[in-house]
Amino acid sequence: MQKDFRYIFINAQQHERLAQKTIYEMFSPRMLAVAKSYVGSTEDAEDVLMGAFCKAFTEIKSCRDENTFPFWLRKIVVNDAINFIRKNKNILYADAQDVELLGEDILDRAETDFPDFEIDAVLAQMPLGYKLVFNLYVLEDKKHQEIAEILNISEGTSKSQLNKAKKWLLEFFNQKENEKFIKK
Amino acid sequence: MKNSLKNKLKTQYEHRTETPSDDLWERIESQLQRSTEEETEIPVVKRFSRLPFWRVAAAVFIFVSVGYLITQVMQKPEKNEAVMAHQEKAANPESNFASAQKEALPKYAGETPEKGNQTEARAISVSEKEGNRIIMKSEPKNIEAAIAQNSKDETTTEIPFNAEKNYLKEPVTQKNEGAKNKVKYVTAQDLLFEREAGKSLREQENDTRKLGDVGLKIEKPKSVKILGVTVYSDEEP
Repeated sequence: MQKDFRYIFINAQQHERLAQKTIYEMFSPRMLAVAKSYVGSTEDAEDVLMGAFCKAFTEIKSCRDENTFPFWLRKIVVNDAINFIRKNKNILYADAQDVELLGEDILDRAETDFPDFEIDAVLAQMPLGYKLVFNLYVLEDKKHQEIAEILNISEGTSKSQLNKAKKWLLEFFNQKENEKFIKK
Repeated sequence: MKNSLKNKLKTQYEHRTETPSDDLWERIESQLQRSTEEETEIPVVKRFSRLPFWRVAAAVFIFVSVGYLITQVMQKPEKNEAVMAHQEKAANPESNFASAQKEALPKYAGETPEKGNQTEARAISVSEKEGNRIIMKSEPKNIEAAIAQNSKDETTTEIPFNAEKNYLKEPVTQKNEGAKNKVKYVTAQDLLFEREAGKSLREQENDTRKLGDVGLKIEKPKSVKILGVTVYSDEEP
């Protein structure tokens, strides 16, 4: 399988259309989900994906080898998604305000406390400003300094936005619990 | 913590997939096709964009060179005329001297011309210089009348020469008494010219050839420098 992908990767570097299509079919579902986690809608996510794949196939020779290609492609998709949000959706980050977390950090709590947790629902409903910082910090493992550079904000703003996202997440789960309790 | 909410989030995130629409690959393919066509067109445009610069440079160079050639051609006839005039002067010193004589000689007093010697014109020459006095010997043909007139009036044959001021003072005669204020001076350049002309005349006298056969062999200079410009002779060495 790995040998097959290496052969496909080499052919794609030669701009062979069949190899490019094979790579598209291998990675497009996963990359579309990543793009949608940032931009929200499927149509916008497909626009982002189209641009990202064109860029990837054009500059595929700059990718070192077939093993780093998935991470390299994902990086392009995330950057294009953030650029799309910057162009089309106005996000105004307020000055950093100290948001005190009450109690334990929700992310450090046991997953058993959240049995019906679904990430799609969380990402669909979380406000865009919080979601960008939340996705980059929690899902992409970026540091606050890197997030500040990517989003062109201060490190303090990045930290405060993450705290606000956690607070929102806690309220979201509490609301879900209440709805479940009411249904019962 | 392994079983934390954070890990659960990341695991679910990594396994998320979305099915793209059917025409998404066609859109990507058309976009790739357009980008490859644009890449092939760009080098052609670049080539053409380079040409105008060279064309402009070539046109400017041609204009400048043509203008320079035109100025050179315009200057040549003037140079040629100057060279020709100089060559004529060098070839005919007699006529030059004769014309100069007409202007200068009547001013000077000298010995009366020898009677019968009416065939050849003789230049004024400074033959002797005694102290501050120069004895002039002149038998010009064309100005016999002027000399005769002067000789009537003059009382001395010697003309005082003021070496300091380098001029000859015309002797005071009866005729000149009335015009004391008008003093006619001879410059050193005139004297030198007369000396050279006299030499050539003496050579003519010694020449036994017949009239018309001058036999002068004037060597034309191989090159002449006029106003900083060196003009070479056309004659073969």
